Amino acid sequence: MDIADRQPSSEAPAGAAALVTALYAEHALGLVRLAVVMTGDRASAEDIVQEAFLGLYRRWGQLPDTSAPLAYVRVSVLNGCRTALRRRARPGLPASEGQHAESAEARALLSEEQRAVAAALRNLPQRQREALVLRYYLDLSEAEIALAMGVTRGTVKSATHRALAAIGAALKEGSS
Amino acid sequence: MTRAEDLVRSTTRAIASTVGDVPPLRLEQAPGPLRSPARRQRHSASRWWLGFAPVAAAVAVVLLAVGLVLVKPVQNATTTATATPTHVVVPDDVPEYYAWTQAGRVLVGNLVTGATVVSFEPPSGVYLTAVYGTTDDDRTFVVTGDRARGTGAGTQWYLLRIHPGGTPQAQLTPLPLPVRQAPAGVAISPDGTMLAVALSGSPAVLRVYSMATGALLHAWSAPAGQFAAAKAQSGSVPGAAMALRWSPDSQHVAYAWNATAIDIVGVTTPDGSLLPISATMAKIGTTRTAFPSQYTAAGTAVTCDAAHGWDVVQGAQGWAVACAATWLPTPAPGQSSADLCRSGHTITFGIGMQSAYQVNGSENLQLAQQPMATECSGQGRPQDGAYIAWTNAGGTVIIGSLVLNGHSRFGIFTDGNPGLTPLPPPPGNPAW
Repeated sequence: MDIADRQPSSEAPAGAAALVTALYAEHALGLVRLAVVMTGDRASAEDIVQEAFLGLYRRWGQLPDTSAPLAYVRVSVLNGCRTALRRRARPGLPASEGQHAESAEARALLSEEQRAVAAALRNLPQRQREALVLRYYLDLSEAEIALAMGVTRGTVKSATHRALAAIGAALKEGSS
Repeated sequence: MTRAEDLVRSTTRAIASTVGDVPPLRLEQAPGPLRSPARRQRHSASRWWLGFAPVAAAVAVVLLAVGLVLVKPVQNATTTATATPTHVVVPDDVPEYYAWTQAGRVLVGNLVTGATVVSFEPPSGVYLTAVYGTTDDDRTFVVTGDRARGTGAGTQWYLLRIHPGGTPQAQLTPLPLPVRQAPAGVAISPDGTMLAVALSGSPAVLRVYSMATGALLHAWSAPAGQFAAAKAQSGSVPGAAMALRWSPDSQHVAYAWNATAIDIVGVTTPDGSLLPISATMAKIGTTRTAFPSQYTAAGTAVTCDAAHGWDVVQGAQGWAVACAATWLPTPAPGQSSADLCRSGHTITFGIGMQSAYQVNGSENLQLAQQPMATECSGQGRPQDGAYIAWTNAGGTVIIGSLVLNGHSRFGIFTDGNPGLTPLPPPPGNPAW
C-alpha cells in the first residue's frame, strides 16, 4: 500500500488522526477480542483491527455520520474477519493456514465443554457464527446485529436460532 | 437463558480474555524496513527455532500460567535500545523478534534493527541459561535457569511472553515444571500446550509436560544414551536447543539420539520404551557425494553435520530432516582443513539445507541452498560452523550465521543473489 493511500481524504478534518487514535485507544482491545473470537488468530485479529482503523482514518471526511464511528469500525472488523476466513478456506493453502483454531492460550484456558463449543462455533456457517458472537459476546440487540451484519432482523433471529440448535446438537453428540 | 447460550457466552468470553493488550495504532507508514500488516501473517508451520529464539507478539500459555498457576512475574522487563535502527528489507515470514541469554540474563531483540528491546535480570540466585521457542504465535518461549544451592537447586523453568508495544513489553514468569536435572533437550509444541524435555543418562528419558499445569503427560525411556546431535567435545556444552523438535502439528517429537540419528515418536504413542516405538528419520554425519559441483569445492563431498543444527519439516513428500552443512574440499589423508588453507586451497563455506526425505524407506537428498561465502584466511577454530537459527518450511530462507576463523556473517540467507542479507548480530553471542 502506498503512503498516499494512508492519508485521509482532503475533506477530513485536521483532527481526524487524533479522533481516530482516541477511538482506537478506547475500543481497539474490544475489537481485537471480537476478531480473535471470530477468526481464532491473534495476529490476524490485530491486523484486521489495524486495517479497520486505517480505513476509518482514510475515509473520515467521507463518512455520512461521524457521530457513530464505532459502528463503522465494527462493520469493517467483521468484513475483515470474513475476508480472513475466506482466505483460509481457499484451496491450496497449507493446512496450518487453512485451519481455524483458537490460540494455544485459549486452548489451554477453555474447559473441555467450552472447547467443544468453540469447535462447534468454528463449524457453523459464517453468518450463524457472526450472529452468535455479536449476540452473546457483544450483547448486541437484534437491531444492532442486523445493522452490523447488513441483514434484516428476521435473518438475525433465524441465524441465531439455527446456530444455537447446532451448538446444542454438537454438545449432545459429544456427550453421547 | 439456555445451557447452549450460557456456554456460547462463557466460551467466547474465555477466548476473548486471551487478549490483554493491543499494539499501538499506526496511521502512517512506519519508516524503515518494516512490515505491512499483511506481512505479519503468520506461517506457523514453518516456525522452528534453534538456539536463538526469534519472537514476535504474545498469546499462548501465559495467561494460563498467570491465571491457573497464580504465579507472579519474576521481574519487570527493562526496556533498552542498543542499536540504531537499520533499513533492511526482510523476506515475508521472517519473524521480527528473538530472545537469547547472555551472562545469565535474557534479552529480547528486534531482528531487523538489531536493537535489544527488553532485558531481564536473573531472579535472585538463578543464572538464566537458555531460551527455547517457539509456539505458533512466536511470542511464547521457555527459559531455563540454574539455581546452584538451596531448596529447589537445579534447573529452574520460566515462561517468557513478548508483547510488542505493550506494557510491559515482556514478562518472565515461573513455570511449574518438576524437573531439576539439566535438560539435554527442550522444545515447546507449536500449539503452546506441551513442553518436551529430554534427559540424557541411564536411563535416558523423553517426557512431555503440560505447559499449563506442569503435569506429566507422556514419558518414554531408553536404557542409556544421550539426546545429542553431536558428540560432546572437551570443554563444550551440548546445545539443548538442538536435541528436540516438534512437528508442526504438535503430534510428533523428533529427537537427536547419540549423535547418530534423528528419530521421531508420536505423542499419542503409549508410554514405555522409547527406541522400539521410534522411527529413524535420518542419520547424522553422513557424507554425500551426489551433489552438483557448484556446491562442492573441486567436486568433492558434502558432509551434512547435524551438530550445526537440524530442522524437521513436514513437506508434501513426507517427513524431512534438514541440517546445516559446510562445504570443504576433502583433505588428503593426514591433512586438515587448515592445511588446505595454508596450501592455497579455497574453502567454500556455506549454509544450506540438506533434506533427507524418507520415501519408501530410502533417502532422497536434496540441496536447497547455495554456499554464500568463500574464505581461507587462517586456521579453523572450534566455533567455526554454520548456525541455523530459523528456517522456513521449504528451507529456502534461513536466518543464521557462518562463523569462520572468528569472523561471523549473520543474516538472512536465501537462494540466489545477493544470497545473504546482513542483519545486526545479537550482541554477546559468539555464534552470531
